[in-house]
Amino acid sequence: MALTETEIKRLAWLAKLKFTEEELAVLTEDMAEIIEFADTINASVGTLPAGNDFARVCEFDDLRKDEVQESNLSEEVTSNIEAEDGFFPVRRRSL
Amino acid sequence: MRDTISILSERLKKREISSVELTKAYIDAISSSDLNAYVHTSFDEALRQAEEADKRLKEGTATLLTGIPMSVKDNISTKGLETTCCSKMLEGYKPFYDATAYAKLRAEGAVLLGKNNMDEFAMGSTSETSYYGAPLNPRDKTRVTGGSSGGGAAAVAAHLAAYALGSDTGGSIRQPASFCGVVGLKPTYGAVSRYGLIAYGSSLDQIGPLANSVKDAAIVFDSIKGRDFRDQTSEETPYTVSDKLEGGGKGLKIGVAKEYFEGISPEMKGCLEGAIAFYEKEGAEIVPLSMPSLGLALPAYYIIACAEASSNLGRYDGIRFGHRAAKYESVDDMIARSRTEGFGKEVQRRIMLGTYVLSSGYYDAYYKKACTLRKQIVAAFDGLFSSCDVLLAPTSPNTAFPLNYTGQNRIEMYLSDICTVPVNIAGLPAISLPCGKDGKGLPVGMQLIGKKFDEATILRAAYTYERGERQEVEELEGGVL
Repeated sequence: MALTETEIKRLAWLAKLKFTEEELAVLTEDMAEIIEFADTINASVGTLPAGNDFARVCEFDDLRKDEVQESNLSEEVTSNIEAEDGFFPVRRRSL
Repeated sequence: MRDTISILSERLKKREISSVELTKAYIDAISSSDLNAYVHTSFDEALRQAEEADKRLKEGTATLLTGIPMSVKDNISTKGLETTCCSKMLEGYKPFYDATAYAKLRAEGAVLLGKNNMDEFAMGSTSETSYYGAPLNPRDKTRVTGGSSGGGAAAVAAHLAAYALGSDTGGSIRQPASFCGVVGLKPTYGAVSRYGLIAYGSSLDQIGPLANSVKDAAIVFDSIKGRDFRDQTSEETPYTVSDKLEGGGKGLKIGVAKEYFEGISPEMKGCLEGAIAFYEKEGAEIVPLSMPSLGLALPAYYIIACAEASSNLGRYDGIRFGHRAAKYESVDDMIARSRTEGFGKEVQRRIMLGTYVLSSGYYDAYYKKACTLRKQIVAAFDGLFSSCDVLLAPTSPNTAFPLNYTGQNRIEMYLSDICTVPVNIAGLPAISLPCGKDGKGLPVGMQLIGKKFDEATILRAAYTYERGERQEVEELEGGVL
């Protein structure tokens, strides 16, 4: 089913993306096309075959031992941003 | 003869050439190449690694991969070397750890030349969505390499690396391998650790090799596979494959599902029929099969992959790493602006579709249904494999398209993944290898699909074909030296 521009705007808000009015118009068309394609699965889904589950059941013995291991250092974790005192700085608004 | 790992390794061990000399030859080749196969290079570090490898070669502690120069796709983490997924979002990002698959190769003394071009966040079939511009196909520079591991396939085909690590979510190793005329192996889901592979569709993604021969792909796979406590979906793999290639075609049951051949050109069909005839001559049994649910794998794939992508790409908030907008009104606004500025259009579209299929009211209609369909496809493959060992299919319905090709709309472009995505949906191993050329002289890829954790059988089948049919052709092609 095709989406309205209002619905696309809500999705964009959920996805934390911004679109200009022009982009929204193009995107609404694109999404209609993609969703029409996604809708083709409805042609088909019948009964569920038994088994073949994707969950990987982890036995207790499979779990790794709860031992202290080397871990990430804060100076490494923050190395891709201008860190302040080992923290990620986030300001309420840009300066 | 082409420069394969076995040949180069032999020459290194005999001291005919040092790893430093070999590395320099590749660096020269990369520096004078216009293919745009690499987006970040690490030549100084490569020469240091080569010196280290030469020491190991001298000491006699070398393996087949020691001192062999290789490259890694730009979505696989390499400590201290830019790993950007070819996106503005991750421009300048340097991981502080290595992906397990790459770390295993480094432990054997592999030499890293640099990072290969790709579609942004691996989303595409041509590598044209790359922030750094598309790589060019070395077989015809007016055409695409395929994608998303296009840079790696081009690098291997043009001898700008002896082999490359790629990743395959819906065909991203196999399809570029077929477009560039090299070998590409997508291992069983769980056979190779995904730790350090920047996630796209976590239940589909798998790291694997692009190489100049089937044996090379097997050697690299043996080195990178196995359980890793950092990836809970990885499994023990108590088997090796590179020593099991010689079995020949006799006794192999090769299934041919007719749906895979619908819509491919007569020339491509001819190439694949030639391969089928070859296997028959070698004593394999050809089993005609049918898989009616094949076409349904595509919409299921796009729903599942986009749903997972929208969750996985949620981490790019401009706070901990990646692009941060310079101007914003609030933290929320900063996150949205950073993402909008950082992601390209195709990535944004897929995040939007993923958000849609997971949103309240649509989850059951799309995501849940796609998961049900996924189980049906797994069951369909199980059915096929009850009467054959290997499935033979084309890798792609097309050979390489021209660059900036507008003859197809987006959906037609998605449809071109029809031959590769079912394998990811079911978590199976598959290999693509060259199988002749079409009328324009472009390589055609043959895909061999196997049972879970049975890489050995598809590699054996691929090796049998390569030995029988390709050898004479390949001897005409040069190498880096």
